[in-house]
Amino acid sequence: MIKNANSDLWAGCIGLALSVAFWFSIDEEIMRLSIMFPKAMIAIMALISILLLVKGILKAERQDLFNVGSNRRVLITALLFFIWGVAISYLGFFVSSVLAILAQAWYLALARRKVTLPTLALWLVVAAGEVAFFYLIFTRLLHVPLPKGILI
Amino acid sequence: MILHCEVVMEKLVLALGALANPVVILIIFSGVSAGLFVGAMPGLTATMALAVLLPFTFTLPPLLGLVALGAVYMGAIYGGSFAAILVNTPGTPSSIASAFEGYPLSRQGRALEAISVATIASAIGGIAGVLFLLFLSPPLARLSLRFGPSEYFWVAILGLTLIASLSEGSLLKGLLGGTIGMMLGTMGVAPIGGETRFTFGMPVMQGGVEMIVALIGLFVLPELYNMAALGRASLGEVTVSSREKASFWRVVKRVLSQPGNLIRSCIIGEIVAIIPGAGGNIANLVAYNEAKRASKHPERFGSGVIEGLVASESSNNVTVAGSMVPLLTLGIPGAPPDAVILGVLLLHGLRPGIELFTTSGVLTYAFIISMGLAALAMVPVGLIGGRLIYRIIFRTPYYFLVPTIGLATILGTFALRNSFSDVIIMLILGTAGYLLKQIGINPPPIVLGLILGGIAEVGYVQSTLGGAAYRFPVLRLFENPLSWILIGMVLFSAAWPYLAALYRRLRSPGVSKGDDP
Amino acid sequence: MYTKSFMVLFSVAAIVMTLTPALVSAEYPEKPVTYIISFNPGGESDVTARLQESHLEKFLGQPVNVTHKPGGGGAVAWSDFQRTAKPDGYTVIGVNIPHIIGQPMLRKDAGYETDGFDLIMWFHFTPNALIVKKDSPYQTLEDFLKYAKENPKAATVGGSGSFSANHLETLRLEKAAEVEVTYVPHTGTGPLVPALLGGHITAAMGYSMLGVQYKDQVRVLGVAADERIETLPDAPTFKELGYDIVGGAFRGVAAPKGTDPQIISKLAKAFSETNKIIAEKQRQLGFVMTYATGEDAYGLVGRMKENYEGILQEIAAKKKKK
Repeated sequence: MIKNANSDLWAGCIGLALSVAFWFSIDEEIMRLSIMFPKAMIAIMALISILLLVKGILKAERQDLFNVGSNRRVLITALLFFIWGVAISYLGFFVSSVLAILAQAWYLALARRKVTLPTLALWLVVAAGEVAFFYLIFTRLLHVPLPKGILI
Repeated sequence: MILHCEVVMEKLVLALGALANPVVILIIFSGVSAGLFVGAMPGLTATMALAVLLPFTFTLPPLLGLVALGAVYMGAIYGGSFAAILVNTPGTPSSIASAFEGYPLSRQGRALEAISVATIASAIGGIAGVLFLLFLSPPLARLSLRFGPSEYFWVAILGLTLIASLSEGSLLKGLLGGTIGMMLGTMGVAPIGGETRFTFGMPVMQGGVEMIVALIGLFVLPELYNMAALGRASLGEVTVSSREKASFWRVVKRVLSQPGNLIRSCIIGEIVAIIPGAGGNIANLVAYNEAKRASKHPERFGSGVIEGLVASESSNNVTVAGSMVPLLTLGIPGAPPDAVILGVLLLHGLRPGIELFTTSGVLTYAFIISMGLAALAMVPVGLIGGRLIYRIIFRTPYYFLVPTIGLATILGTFALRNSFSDVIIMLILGTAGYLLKQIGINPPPIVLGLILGGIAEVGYVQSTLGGAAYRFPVLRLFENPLSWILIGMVLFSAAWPYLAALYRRLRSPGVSKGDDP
Repeated sequence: MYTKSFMVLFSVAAIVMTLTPALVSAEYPEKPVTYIISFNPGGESDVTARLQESHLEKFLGQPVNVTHKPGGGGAVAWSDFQRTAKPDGYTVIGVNIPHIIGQPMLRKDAGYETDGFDLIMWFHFTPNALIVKKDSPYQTLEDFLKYAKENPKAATVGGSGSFSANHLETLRLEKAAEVEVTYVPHTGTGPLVPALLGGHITAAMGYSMLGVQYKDQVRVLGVAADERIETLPDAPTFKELGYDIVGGAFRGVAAPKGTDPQIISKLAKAFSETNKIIAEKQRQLGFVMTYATGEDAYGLVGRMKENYEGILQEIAAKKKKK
């Protein structure tokens, strides 16, 4: 929770940082035709960022950031998503999805209720069912090959 | 293309005859249902669905194959609204604006009403598109050819002025979001020049940021994080009074009670549809914006205004049949799914052009009419399906909803280009989107920038190349009469917020409602 | 005694080892084959693959799964393929000339090498063709070149992509005819058509297929092939008109480097037979069938490399100068 943050200042800084990052990653050998538009865009982005910084100093729009609910839950949920994404290429789609769904459901449910072992077991079946449903639709019906890992 | 009335009528009658076949009806209903499912899943697009269907159509006789494709297409564009309304994620890019009003309606417990509205609006739009295609193809086709690089550029700029009206709150932040979106769109291979930009050394970045990946990431993930933070789902329970309002005839009356909105949105849908390469993605945003502008209470938009939803959903379904105008008359696909349909036509030896309406006239008219039937079929399928989906989502506890929606989006993202890196990009963009939302930079301008940036760049560069022999090549952008019309619209659209405020102040001096934008 | 059992063991081992490859490749394919297309569904590479799919399955006896991995003009799929695909014959990928020649040469981060594939076959060729609208004032190539000569840079020639077959051919024509036109890249063959028909470009250097598909609306001024295309009998070749320009896009299929040569020849045979069956349908669309397998396949790449080398190196040099 960040109280009373100057959101204009933050926005301006982020914008400026992005402008710099993009600008300096431009290959010097690139042809004019390919880069004239992005260069103009970067310039405009930088300009808007500077305007935001100015506004932030003069007539700041202050607001509380990250003040909704539990930020820790958001963090863990995000972490689980990323682990899930990476796990797909190692454990394969099926296994990593079932595990990820179980993990997220368990963690998020803890905020609302008690989770007992039999409940978890039930959820494992539900998760497996869900994933199987989508898996079959995608691989059999739509012919999209889903990554196979160590197990399935 | 002068076709004698009696000949056309004769063909239309024969076409209807060809369609009065239980197999055809079955295909239409299953096509619409399948399309609905595909459209509702964020990550699956209408084009994907058609591409998957393509090999199956080889074995079917041409009419059945085309009917199937048309039904799936119509259903998919409609289905996008479901995800937009229930989970704040456009299921297809043509339903982006549907989320703006649809989702707030859901939170207020009016989800069923919203779904019913979207259904009726989509059906009306679909039929309107078919009528345009049947009766106005020749002049519309000629108009579509007049859109060249300069015109594309100005259309893109016009679209970008939408950012101003769509940014709730700070205009500067909205513009910043727009430029961020445009920069995201520049990553990868330059559309003109073919060189790679901003790949930061990774070969996989040559593929850039796919628009749907960004759409899913920026819309869904922040919503999921929000649910996680709150510890509950955001879907409001539908109250008794709202359920009543969602009844079929009430909704039909409601939608038809604003004919101006409907007519305007359908016309916008058709104009955008005939511009090759535009399509539903842009139509829904422009129609929404116009509905907001024409409303007596534009400030209410964003809190669940039915008119906005109607505008978005009717205009995008117009583009289904509407974008086939250049396709059937000139062989030019008006929207990405049309490329698949073109492939099917060519494979069966059907060449776009006058032949299609004369020699193969019965087939063509049957196909066109079948899309109108598909639009009608959407009503029962959608209403029943909608209620079902709503019930499922409502009954699902939030701690299962989050990972399940995550599953659907990860799957959809992967399936797009068979790319595991796209999944990672989606997660990164989504998380970044959540953070940006905190400081007031919202997803819609970013996605707008992403969609329109590419069009603007191609238009600009191609146009200035066309003026290579001039002293100042950039003047080429101002040459054509069609460009002047568009430039006028751009100026008008950009100046509107100020003009409107001025108008209000002149009308009622001393009562200044709005702040300076 | 020791030696005898050893000899027996040795001979058994020797027999098993000689038979095994024969056994293995006699069994191939034992499971489905994945056929990767590095472009979007609905495009020419995709439509061709779909046409081939069912016949390939008959010849190989296993299902063939067509999947798409678009991005970077094909580079994403090709770089990924060279990095990760196993040379066991169960994954093949569609390849295109001049893309696989031009991209590694001109891009720092293409991520793959032109020679990093085991080529199976080149199945067809769409020659480049200079096309104008039916009601354009230019009836012949000479008319067009005259206009171009008198108005440098004013004539706009559209094409699909940059440094693609269309673009490189335009550059070669400029050099051969000593004219200066302005090449306007388009994001594919699709957008090229409305640009041409709407009069937004003077001419298009597209593929012969366009001339066939839009026969009633366009006129073909010249084709970059050795002989006239059957479906375009009235279109002269550049060669006939005195300009030795032959080129276009070739489509083919390749396997990962190091794949068993026997598997490669089996695949080559399956594709060749398939080609013969779909030849008629493809010819009608304006394709020229080729049957370049084995040595011929590599020879073709070599020849096209030579053809385009001069231009490509000029471009690379111009870039470095900046």
